[in-house]
Amino acid sequence: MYRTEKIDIASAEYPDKLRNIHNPPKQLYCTGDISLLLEPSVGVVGSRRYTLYGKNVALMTGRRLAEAGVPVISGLALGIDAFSHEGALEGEGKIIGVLGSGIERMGPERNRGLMNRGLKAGGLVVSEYPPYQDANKGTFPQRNRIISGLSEALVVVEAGMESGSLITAKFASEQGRTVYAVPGNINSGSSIGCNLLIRDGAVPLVIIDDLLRDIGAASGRMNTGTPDLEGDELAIYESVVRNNGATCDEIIWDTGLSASLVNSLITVMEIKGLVESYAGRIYLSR
Amino acid sequence: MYSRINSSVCFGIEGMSVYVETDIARGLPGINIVGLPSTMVMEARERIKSAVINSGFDFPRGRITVNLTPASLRKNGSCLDLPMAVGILCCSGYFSGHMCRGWGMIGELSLDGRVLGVDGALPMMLHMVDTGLEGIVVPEANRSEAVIAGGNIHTASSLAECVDILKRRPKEAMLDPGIEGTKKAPETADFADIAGQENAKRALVVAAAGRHGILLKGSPGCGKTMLARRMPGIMPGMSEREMLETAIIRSVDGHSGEETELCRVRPFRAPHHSIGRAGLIGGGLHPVPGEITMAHNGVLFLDEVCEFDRRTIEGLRQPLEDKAISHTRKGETYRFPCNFQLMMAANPCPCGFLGDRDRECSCSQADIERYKRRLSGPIMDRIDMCISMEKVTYGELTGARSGLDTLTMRTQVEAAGAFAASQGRSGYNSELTARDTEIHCRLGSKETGFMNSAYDKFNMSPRAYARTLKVARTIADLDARASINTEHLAEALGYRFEYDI
Repeated sequence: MYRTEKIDIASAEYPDKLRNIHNPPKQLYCTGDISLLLEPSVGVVGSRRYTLYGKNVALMTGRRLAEAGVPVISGLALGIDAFSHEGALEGEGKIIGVLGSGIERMGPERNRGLMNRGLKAGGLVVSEYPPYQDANKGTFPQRNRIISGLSEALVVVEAGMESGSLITAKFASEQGRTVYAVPGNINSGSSIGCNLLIRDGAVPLVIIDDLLRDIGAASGRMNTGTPDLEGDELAIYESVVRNNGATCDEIIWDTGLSASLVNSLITVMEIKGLVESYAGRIYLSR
Repeated sequence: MYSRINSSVCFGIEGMSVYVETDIARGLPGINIVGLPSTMVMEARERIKSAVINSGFDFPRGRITVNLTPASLRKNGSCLDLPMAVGILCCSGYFSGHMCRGWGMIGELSLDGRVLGVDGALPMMLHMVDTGLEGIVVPEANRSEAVIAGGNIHTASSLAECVDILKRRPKEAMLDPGIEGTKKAPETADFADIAGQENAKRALVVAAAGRHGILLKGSPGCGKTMLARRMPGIMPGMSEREMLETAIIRSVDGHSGEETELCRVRPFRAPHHSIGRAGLIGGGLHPVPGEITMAHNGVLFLDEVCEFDRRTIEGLRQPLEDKAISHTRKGETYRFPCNFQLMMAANPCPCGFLGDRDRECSCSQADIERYKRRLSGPIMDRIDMCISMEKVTYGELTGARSGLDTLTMRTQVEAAGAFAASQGRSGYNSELTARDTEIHCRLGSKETGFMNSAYDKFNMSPRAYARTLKVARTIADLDARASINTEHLAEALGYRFEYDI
């Protein structure tokens, strides 16, 4: 297993960026590669409840950052947090998990596998609490100040009105970090927090390259355009794009095709990997 | 002074012959009933005495012994009141024994001498007609069932009227015989009332054509129940046999006063989720049909299926396979048919708004996980198809485009059935065995390749694979094609069960 090191606020391994925040933790308990603490990293956070859109954006952001060699910081919570780390591991990058409990009392249990994979890939897990301390109601919001403190920039992928990610964003702006928020539909309950952040001055994350350029990492490639389609499949594809995710009924309504044809073509397109269905809606694949 | 009257009791959903023997001997006045009577039959003593006296007859002073044969059969129900009273009158000389010979009767007596309706009158009448009785007297309240049963059946509303009929012994039935009559389809809710939801309507056509169990998933108020209620309307028209079976079950259930025309309507049963095992599959000391039997030849709709007790749903496994359920009580086996179309509805999460465009879901991730587990397992095994629904948008509600209506849909379903029959397949595709599936759902090389890629892409199980083939077979039947092509398979895959969170 991995050894847990205690890093005091006075030690040289303790990163300046964290030391300079309003109320820095007195010590950090670290498992994994502690040199990552000093590297410029990006926090990618969001709520536990997510939509397919948020999931895809988190995976994509994590992967792109990893490919650019930037460690991805997150809270190892369910939902968006987990997907940003999954994405980073997919891109063969490093992750930094910041816990709201002692490392041995890590929760949720379901993400322990993710944490271990991250450690195996040369990542780092950090907590300000001794290994066997349990989490409580107050520790998670406190943990968020470390996430933002360690980050050069913070990306909020999806957040509802009461998401803890908004607390992280608040800390980040107090600490002078750039806050990026991924814009969502204005009628989407899962994106309302992000959209409000943008209204209040956060940078809308429209193109991921902006983020990479901002933190000085190399820019990657652009997304590819419309795939090569024709006829009814193209009509369905366009309907999905136009509605930003549509139900079968909306596509039927939109294209005037029969229910059986739409249903069968969607399956074909799913097998081709062009679209995917989630909670009764058809979305473009990432 | 001895008499013997033909009668019948309802045993499960079958009529059974019972002979009521009466003998009046000298001794202390009283009635003694023997021959395995239940409490309900024993209590007839008090009813009979008052009814006889209040009908203007004298009640014999003597020791009355009533024997119900065959002695080995347990008799339950109030239907023996009338034959016992007639037997006593016969013994006390109000009319001679030969008047009742070849005649049978059933009915409950009221203290004032009226004859009241009984449950399960139809199977009893059918049985008595089958045994070749010359004539039968039944309660007036069971008239509509008497019409279905045919034969020389007369209705009586009082004990005196019954005695009058027995004295006349009419040869011609006063009732229109036979199950034939008005053939018109009954007025039920129409699918045309539902705007939008074309995808769901199409899925229901497929489900009805192959009698595939279907799960409707969607947020509250998106129309799941509305669709389910209209399902009986698009199922193929009932055969006479089915009508009779359904009428018998309705009769046992005590729907005696309703119109005979109801028998042409496929039943729709939507038990509340608090229902217990016995309520769903039937049971009791003298077993009575449960919801699954009441839904025989029709639709069993389990709304909010995740709220049902898990073991209750488990109880559906064997009846769904056998299309019948047997209950054994005190060495007797009661067999109830239950060949129904299964429909279930569920919200996508406990609060119902997961994935909803307008409302935010308020469930915790753990709630959703728990819910997801309830939805899989026993429920998933019982359905072939699953569709997600969403509330229709304003545009669809006000749009001028007319959707499918019930008549069109039923025509499609019936055409698919006719096509399947022309291909030598009787029965529904959901009932295809593994062997039948191999024979009737053979795929070409292109289709096999398509299914292979789908198998990998969607992480299918062998069970899901077989299910998809059966649904695809139904879709091909709807398309009137002898072989399944990739479009049929692709559409069938669109109805696969997937918990996509």
